Amino acid sequence: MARSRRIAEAEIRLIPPKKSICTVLYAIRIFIASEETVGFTRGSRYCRSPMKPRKAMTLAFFVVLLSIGYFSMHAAPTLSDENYSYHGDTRWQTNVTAAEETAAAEEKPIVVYFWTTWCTYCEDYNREVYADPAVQSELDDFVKVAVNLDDDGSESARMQQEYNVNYPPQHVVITPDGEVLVRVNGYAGTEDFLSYLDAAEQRYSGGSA
Amino acid sequence: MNVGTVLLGLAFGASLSGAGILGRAYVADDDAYVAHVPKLTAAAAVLLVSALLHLTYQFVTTDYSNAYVWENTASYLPLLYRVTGVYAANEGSVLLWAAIVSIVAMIAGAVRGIPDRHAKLVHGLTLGLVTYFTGMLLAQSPFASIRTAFPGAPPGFVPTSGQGLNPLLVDPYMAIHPPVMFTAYALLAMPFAIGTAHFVSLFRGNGGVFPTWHGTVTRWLRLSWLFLTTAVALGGLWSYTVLGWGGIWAWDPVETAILIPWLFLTATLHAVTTYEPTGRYRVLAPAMTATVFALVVYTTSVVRSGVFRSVHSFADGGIGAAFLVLMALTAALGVVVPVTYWLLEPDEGVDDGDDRWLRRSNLVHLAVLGFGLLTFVSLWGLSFPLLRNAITGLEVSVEARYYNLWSYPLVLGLLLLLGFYMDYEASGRRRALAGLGVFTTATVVGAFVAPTETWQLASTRPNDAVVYQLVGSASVASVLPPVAYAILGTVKRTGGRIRAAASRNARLKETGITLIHVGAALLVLSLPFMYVFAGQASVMATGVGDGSMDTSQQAVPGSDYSVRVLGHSRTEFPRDPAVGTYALSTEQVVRRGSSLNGSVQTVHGRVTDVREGPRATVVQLDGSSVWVGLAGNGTTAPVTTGERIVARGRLMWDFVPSADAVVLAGPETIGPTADPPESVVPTRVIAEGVSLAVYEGDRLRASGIAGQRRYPEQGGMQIRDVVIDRGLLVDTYVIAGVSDGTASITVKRIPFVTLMRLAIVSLLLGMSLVALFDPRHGAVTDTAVRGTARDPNPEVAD
Repeated sequence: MARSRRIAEAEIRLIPPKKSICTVLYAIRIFIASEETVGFTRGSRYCRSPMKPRKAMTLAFFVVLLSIGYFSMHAAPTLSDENYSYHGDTRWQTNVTAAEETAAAEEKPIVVYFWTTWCTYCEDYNREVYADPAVQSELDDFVKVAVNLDDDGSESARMQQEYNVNYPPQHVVITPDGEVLVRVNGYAGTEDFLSYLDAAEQRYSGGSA
Repeated sequence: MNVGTVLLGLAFGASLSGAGILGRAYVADDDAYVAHVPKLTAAAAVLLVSALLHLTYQFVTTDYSNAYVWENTASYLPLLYRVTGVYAANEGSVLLWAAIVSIVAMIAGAVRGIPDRHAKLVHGLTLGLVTYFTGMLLAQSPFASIRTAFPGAPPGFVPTSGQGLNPLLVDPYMAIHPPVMFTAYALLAMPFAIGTAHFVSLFRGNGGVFPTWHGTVTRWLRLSWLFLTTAVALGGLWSYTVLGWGGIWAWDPVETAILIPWLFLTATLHAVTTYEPTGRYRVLAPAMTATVFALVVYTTSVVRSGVFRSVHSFADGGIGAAFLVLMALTAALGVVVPVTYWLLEPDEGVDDGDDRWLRRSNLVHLAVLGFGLLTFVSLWGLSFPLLRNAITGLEVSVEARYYNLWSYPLVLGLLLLLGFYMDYEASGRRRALAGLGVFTTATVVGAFVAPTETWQLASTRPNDAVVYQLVGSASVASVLPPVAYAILGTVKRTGGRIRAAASRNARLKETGITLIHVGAALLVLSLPFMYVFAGQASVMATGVGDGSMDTSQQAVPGSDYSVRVLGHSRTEFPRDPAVGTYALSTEQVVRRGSSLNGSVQTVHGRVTDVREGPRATVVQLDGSSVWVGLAGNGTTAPVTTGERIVARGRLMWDFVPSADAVVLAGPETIGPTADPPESVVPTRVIAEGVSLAVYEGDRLRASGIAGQRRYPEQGGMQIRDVVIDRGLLVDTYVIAGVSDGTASITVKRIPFVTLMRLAIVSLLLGMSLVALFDPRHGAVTDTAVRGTARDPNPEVAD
């Protein structure tokens, strides 16, 4: 009695993860459901009994879980890569210094868009405002910079502090030198947004003329 | 060193020694000093509660010598919001959490005592948690001196006004949401300790603790579930009225962070009620029990450590690192240990050997797994942007539809499963399978029945992933068959079970189970309809500021609504504040002395002397050594002797030989107390709005003042004041943005909000009934049947 128990214990120590091995075998069996694999898993010393329904369900659960995880991660839309972030159908620079240089060279005003991933009005902007062709063509007269308020980088912090921005969404239209032309706090519908941009352009050309 | 820090230090000592004694006694298996532990636990609880009360007192009396108080309140706030400032940021929240955990530890110890070796481990772990939280508080104290915020300030410096409470938190829902949530979190500490102790005990060959503690675990979990559900509901209702966009859920990281433990706790409760000590779930139930708390800590860390920032970014700070360590610890104990045990478990043959697929316990298992998947979807949405960013440097977005569209089919599946489970028990295998077939078909058909485009769950874009296209283009009608099936099945089964119930308590519990499941089904019904069928239309009203607006009924284009603007209001807060709330008396100035030197201060007092010089005038206040100086040739001294005045300017201490303090005011910053100049009186809130009436056809739907509150001293942040008419079927929700004399008025129509409110009430009521009256593990019925006696009428019979 004592001897057989010792043997059993020794066996446990030798092949502790037999359950996990069995699980792997069953996973193979699910994907390649042939006579051989069925026979193999059934005959394996790791899996003496056929799989219990609950275990099969648990296994299926992990398969579904991993596929959801993998798939959704790759289906997620890119918000920003190295130099740009994307809002609606518009592309915004993320490098403020580069944008300021571009603006100075092209003598265009800059629209700075302060946003976050979780702000619902930003989604409204994406859907209603930036998707509008009139807005897109109007925005072509500006250099577009997007600042994510959750970005901890020094440039983002500098912009937030300089223009006193602490909630999304806000737009600040500035001259290439950083002088404020127009502020749009919160959400503005397409018409309002266009009139803000118009006002900014007029002020800009008025100021420089 | 101050009173608060001393209280925290003592609490730390008490809980640490308690945990230490228990840890040693567990390892050595003796009873040395264990008799002191209940006293130490009680001491820790009393000390932590005292610390919390002390902090609350400091908030109520606006004691700005405490940096945390100064950061999170202001004198103009009413009492309620001065109290709730206590948990407006990390330090206070952790103190609240620690205090509740210590109370839980004290009650648990008092109820059961420490009868055996396992109990030592369990209580040692809960006290360990209290110790850790208290240690966090010592590292980043809510009692830190104001000089930590102003390192350069002279000793004794105290600001005269606070920074103010985060405007989003100035709301009755937010006043009770945090305590409810932290109570729920704290109640999970005991199950965590028991689950962890179970596996530690198994590894040490002591046989585990879960079977004997099963009832205790069930009660703690149920109570926590009740509180957590309340907290989620309060959060949703808060977002509905305060954020002013007319919805209850936006998958903000902080909302997701509280939903994750809720979903997993729901799964855990299903597993724990199905648990049999030697049979099914003997590993999974304790493992899940331990994991819930680890999830709470994980999500709290993600949200509060600043890894993620969001609407709730009021809560970022250095306490994050301590949370990350706690996260590692709880994950190791609550997740890694059970998984390791599961992988190494020598034998699996204890199951009853029944290989039938269609068994009620298997159906419950599917439900557990379904909730597990729902948890995963939310957890993954919170985590993978971080992961992906770390790996590839790309920033990806997790939109609301990621959560919505993945969760939707899972939720429908769970409802069909619920209906089938209930029906299977009530009507037997053949009829139940037929029912499942019919309702599943109806669900699939429903997905294609879309009378108009509005019925679509989401607007799809051509380059979307297949899953989003597929689920997104499904019709919301697909929710109807599963909901109907779930409710029908539940009601059908309940009838039989209530009749069969042996006692009043058993009947009450059955009623509770029914209310929970019907409530859940109704909740699922209301949510997609609320979002899909919400409609809105806007109209502009001009001339609001000067009263020249059109006060007749104006149609809101694109809707059945019309609006009448009746008036305009603009109020500044605080309104006519008492001078003592924003200005120092001469006595206070003298008492604070040189610490005020060089700072801008407001002072008030009675003019007792006016001396006009060639270049300046000086005014003595209250016959004291405090004077107000005014530059100028002195001919236009605006004050007369005997008048009460208030003045603001730079305060110079020992500036001139004959006076202690001189406040250098200007003509704009001095005036009578009865009518103080505008630049002297602080304005914290500017509420601007229009009073309006909204009609649908000819019927008055809603009336009130809609507008916004601006907080000029808090970055100009704006909060909406909305007008809501809560209708049986449809809520009318009015938002107005008022600026430059123009009001832009938006009227939203949101269906089924009342249904959602009813569903929540049903859920909470059901949960309370089950938690209280369950004949086996109820809070009030517990003494009758105890321990391992089998339930005569179990929820899951096979």
